[in-house]
This record gives sequence, structure tokens and C-alpha cells, in this order.
Amino acid sequence: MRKPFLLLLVACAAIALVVGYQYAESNAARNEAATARSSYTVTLGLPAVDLEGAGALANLTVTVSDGDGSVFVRFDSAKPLINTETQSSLRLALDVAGKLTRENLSKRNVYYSISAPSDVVGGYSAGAAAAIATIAALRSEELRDDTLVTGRLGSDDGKIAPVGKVEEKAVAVREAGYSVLLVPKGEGAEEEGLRIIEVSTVAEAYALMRE
Amino acid sequence: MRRLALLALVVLCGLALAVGYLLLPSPHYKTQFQACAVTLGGEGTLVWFEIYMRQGSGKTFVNIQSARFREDTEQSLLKARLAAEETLGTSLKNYDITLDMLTPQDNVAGESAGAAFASALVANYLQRPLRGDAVISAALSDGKLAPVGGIDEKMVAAAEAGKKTFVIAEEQQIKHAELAQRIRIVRAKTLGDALEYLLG
Repeated sequence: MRKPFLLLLVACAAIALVVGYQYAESNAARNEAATARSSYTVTLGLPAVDLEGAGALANLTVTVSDGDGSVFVRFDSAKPLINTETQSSLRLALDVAGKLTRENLSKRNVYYSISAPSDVVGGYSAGAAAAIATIAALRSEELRDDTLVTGRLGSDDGKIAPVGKVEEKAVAVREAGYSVLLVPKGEGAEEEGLRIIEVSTVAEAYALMRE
Repeated sequence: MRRLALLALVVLCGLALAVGYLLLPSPHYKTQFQACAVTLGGEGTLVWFEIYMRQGSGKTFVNIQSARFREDTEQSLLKARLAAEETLGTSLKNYDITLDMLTPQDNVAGESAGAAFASALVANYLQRPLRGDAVISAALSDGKLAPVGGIDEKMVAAAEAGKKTFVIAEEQQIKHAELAQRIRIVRAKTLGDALEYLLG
């Protein structure tokens, strides 16, 4: 009677020790990864237009952290900045960034936040910039601080599609002190004091913004 | 000698279990709740949401993995945060709020889930469950509950989903008074009043 009981106890202790040890190990690994990588934030100016149709600059912030594959937008502005179209373009931007970096997004959380000094019009034109900022955040890389990009994403193939209002945006970009603006193929424009370069893909634009 | 070994084993066993348990990651306390909505076809429906708070700086996030949120819902969330703060009597400026829609649906629009968001925030802060058999459908205006559209359709949907109690704003008009036979209709003036029926 005593022997089986003792055996059971020993088995119990062994199992408990193994379980406890495994948790301890996985937890330590997790903590280590968290401190090593924790989160990375990239901020990028977004060429936009205001309600009067004039060029303006909004600000996009992307933060990538460890997580469960969720994608969030900050949604607490008294002046609405992120309409459903912008949400769709951010969602698409993440898909494009995920494809290009081959990152496992199911282990990351991505947080998008847009702020603007004036009343800017929401829409799809944040797409290319959001994809580029997301790639930088996923890779923990920095972007040039003298270059901005405007363009929408048609699909998740990484091509940059026309956006319109490039001339108005170029004025705002130059006035804010930037020296280069990347625009979709076929939308090249002239703006004194600003270099405007046509790009056709997100990968091409990313290379120019990393140089 | 044998007894000692046995004792040591038991202690070890307990210790190992305790250590394992303590090292389990502690997840955020999440509050899942249902809010009433009206489909494009004009029918009432119940939609699952999940809300939680974590240490932060007063920001609010929505999960756009599959859903899109309209601007009026953004205002509704801002009001919900204020109403929750007022009811709790404490500032939530050190918390970030995250809202996730669990029922697959294209768009979240309108302000009619405001009171549901606010009561979920209060429940989440207090780490108390919400009753599964009660729903609320009201907007928020100046800290009070305000009427919403499509209330009859929403009541039918709630009754069909087996809900027992339906909380509405005091000034809410109902077209079909006989609905009161299918579900208990409770009128509330403030979020605090409504929580009497919603908190478990």
C-alpha cells in the first residue's frame, strides 16, 4: 500500500518540477526577448490636403511590439482624422510591409497613430508612407529625415498608385523644410527647392528613404 | 528516515507547482460584452465586443484587423471614457483603452453603443463581470443616457437571443409597447443607474 503511494508522489514531484522548470525557462526567454526587442517606433510626415484643398502635413507614428498579431489605430481624436478609408489603407500597408519583410506578424502588435495640426482630409493617400514606416518599424531601422512620400496602395502587391493633389502637397512638404518628395509614377511635378522623384513600388521607395 | 523523505518530497512538489504557477504570464483582465446594432437591412442584431485597459497615457485604440470604425464611433468612445471616469469618480488618464469587435462585421458606426462601451469600461476597471442576460442600448450626452434609433428592432433581437433585461435611456420612445411582454425594459437616467442592472 505504501509503495505505490510513494511511487505516485515521486512521479508527481517529478512532473511538477518539469512543468515548473519549463514555465520558468519560457518565461525567462520571453522576458529576454522583450528587453532585447521590446518595441520600436517610427514617425513619418504624411503629405495631405486640408478641407480647403491646400497642401498640409499630418504625422504618422507606427509602433511595433511583441504581441498576438493585432493591428490597432489610435481612435480618440475630437477632430476625426482616421476615417474607414484610412483604416483600410493602414491595414493594407501592414500586409504590404509584412510581405516585403517576411516578418511573422502573428507574434507582433502594430499601433498606428495619426495627428495633424489642421483639418486634413482622410483617405487612401497614407498607404505608401504607412507601408514604408511599418517596414522600418518591423526591421528597427531609421528613415531619412529629409524625404517624404505620397502615394496609395492599390493592392498588397507593393505597387504605388496615383493619389492626386501632388502639387499642393509638394508646397507643404517644401515649406516644412524637406528636400525630397517621392511621388507615384506619372505624377511628377515641379516645385522650386524640392526634388520630386517618381517611384513605382514600395520597395523602390523604401530604398530611397534609407539611403 | 522514510517519513522525512516523504515530507521533503511533498514540500518540493508544492514548491515546484507554486513556482510554475507564479511564472505564468498574467494576461490583461478583458471584458467581453454584447452591444445592440441595426443591420443595413434594418434588422436588430447583437454584436460581441471586447474591451480592456492597461497602464498607459490616456489613449484609446481600436483593432482594425478585420473591422473598420466610423468617426461617430470615435466620438462615442471619447464620451464613454468620460462617463466611465465620472461614474468611477476617478481619472483614467493613466490607462490606455483597447476595443476589439469579435463578431465579424464590416463597419462599426454610430453612437448607440456609447453606454455599452462605458459600462464595459467600468466593469473592466473594477474587474467585475457584466451580466450575460442584460443589454443596454443608449447613447451618451452630457454624462446622461440618450435615446437611440431602431430600439424596437434591437429589443426583438435581444429577446430572441435570450436576454432578460433591456436597459434604455429615460427619454427613449418605444413604438411597440407590447415588447415589454417579451423582455423586461428598464429605464435609466445615468450610467450609474444602468450599472445596477448590468453588473454581475
